[in-house]
Amino acid sequence: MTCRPLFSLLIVLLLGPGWLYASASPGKEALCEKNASALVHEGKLAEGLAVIKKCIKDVPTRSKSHVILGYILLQEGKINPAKEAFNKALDLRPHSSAAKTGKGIILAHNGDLKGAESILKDALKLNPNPARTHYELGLIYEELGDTKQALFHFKQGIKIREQTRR
Amino acid sequence: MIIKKYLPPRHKPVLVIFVAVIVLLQSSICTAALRTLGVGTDGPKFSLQEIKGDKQNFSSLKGDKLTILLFWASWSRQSEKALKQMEKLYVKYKDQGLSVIGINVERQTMDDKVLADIKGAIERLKVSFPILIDHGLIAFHDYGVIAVPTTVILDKYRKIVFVMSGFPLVGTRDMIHFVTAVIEGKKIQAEVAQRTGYHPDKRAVRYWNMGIKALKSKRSFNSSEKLFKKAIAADPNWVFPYLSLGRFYEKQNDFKQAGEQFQKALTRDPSNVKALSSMGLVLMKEGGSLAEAKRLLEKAININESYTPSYYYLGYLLGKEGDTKKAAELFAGAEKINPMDYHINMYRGMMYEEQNNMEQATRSYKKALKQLLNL
Repeated sequence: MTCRPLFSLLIVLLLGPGWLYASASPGKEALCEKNASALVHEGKLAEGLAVIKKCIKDVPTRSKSHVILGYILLQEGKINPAKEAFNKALDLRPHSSAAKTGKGIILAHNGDLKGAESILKDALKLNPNPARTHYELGLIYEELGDTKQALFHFKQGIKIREQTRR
Repeated sequence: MIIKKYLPPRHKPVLVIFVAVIVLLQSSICTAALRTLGVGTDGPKFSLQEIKGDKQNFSSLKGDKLTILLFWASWSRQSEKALKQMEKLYVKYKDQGLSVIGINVERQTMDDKVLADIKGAIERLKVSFPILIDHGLIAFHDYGVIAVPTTVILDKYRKIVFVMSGFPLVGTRDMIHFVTAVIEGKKIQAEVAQRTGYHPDKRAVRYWNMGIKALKSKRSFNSSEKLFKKAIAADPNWVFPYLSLGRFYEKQNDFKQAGEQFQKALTRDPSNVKALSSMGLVLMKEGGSLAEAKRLLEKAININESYTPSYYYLGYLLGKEGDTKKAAELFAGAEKINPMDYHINMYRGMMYEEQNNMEQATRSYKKALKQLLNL
């Protein structure tokens, strides 16, 4: 019986730092981002935006959070704030394929098709698998009148997406 | 009617026989209502939100005896009829072990306007059973829904006991009889029991389920072949493992072996729409007889008007033969049944690409990819 306080102290000493770690673990931030993405998936853009802004407020250094923010803003049609979000994501992680794809979408939207093509190709080099990047490149080539390239990228996107869905 | 438009003039005199055959064979709808699953297999788990936002799953909503899942959308006229029928069954049997769950598959992505439309439809039709929203069409794809509406009835262990695509007259009558008999503890009429589909051996189902799981994984993909063969050994009369094994070979571009498996399925069930369609496609892909492929695909459409793959495979075939007008009608027909199936645009794209119409091909592939990306 006299040992019980000692055991309790030992447990606190062993688990205490663990609790502290858990509260600031990367898992928590990923969960926050996941929640924001889930809300967007359910069509609740405003709520998703509020959640991702809070994620960024809590941990401003995660590139992925800024990427998610960028895509939400893009869906809301807020082009300039979306561009800022993707730029911030690229500052934090210059080799983010998703951020480059987002930036490419914005450049294309602003009429800079060549700039968009270049950054999207960069994104593909970093990650040859994102179907979305192929989709955006397809749109650009379609706009540029290069049907052959557009067709290639749309087909490639379908192939990749089908493989990942399997 | 798509069939009427599609039939060549020389076939029109047999239209009456055609219609009679369709009506008689509506029963087969039960065997090809879902892309992969069917009677005897387990229904996938799901966790979906109600309109209010609360998450629900099978366990929280299941009935003690039966659970009806109705995949529906407000844009589908047949869905309205199905919702009304399910409401009647629900009101009658909700206290006797029947649960009805409406799974809305309105669109790939939802927004406030779409949700308001769904809410409006539920209120207008006075639906009192739970309605869940399939955001991103996850349950829709997990169940392999081909047409909207689709009815899947599960027992309390989540095993599929009845499936029906569309809302056909005979199928609906069978469904009502089936539900009534199970809930009231009466005997199911022999012909209805036969039409609800073959009830496979449990061991075969277990191996088949493992095979399907393996087929979806990159790491264990190859082991699915062995598992499907084990399922066949356990129950050689059950056609599902032949179809799945055929699909396995097809994915590896081994059309000869794929064709052999589809043929084995057809030997056991000559009216199996999935086998007929898959065999038709394989014949096209391996450079076999286009006339035979066409015959099989036409037969599949005649048996089940709701099975969309037969439409786009036949559309693709007709495109190969240069009949783009009829092909376009078939693609449009498939879109009416299931506008969310990206395969329709993919096969349309393939047809245009082979015809060297690159602009239309690009447009079709673009639409297919957009659908796949949920954009």
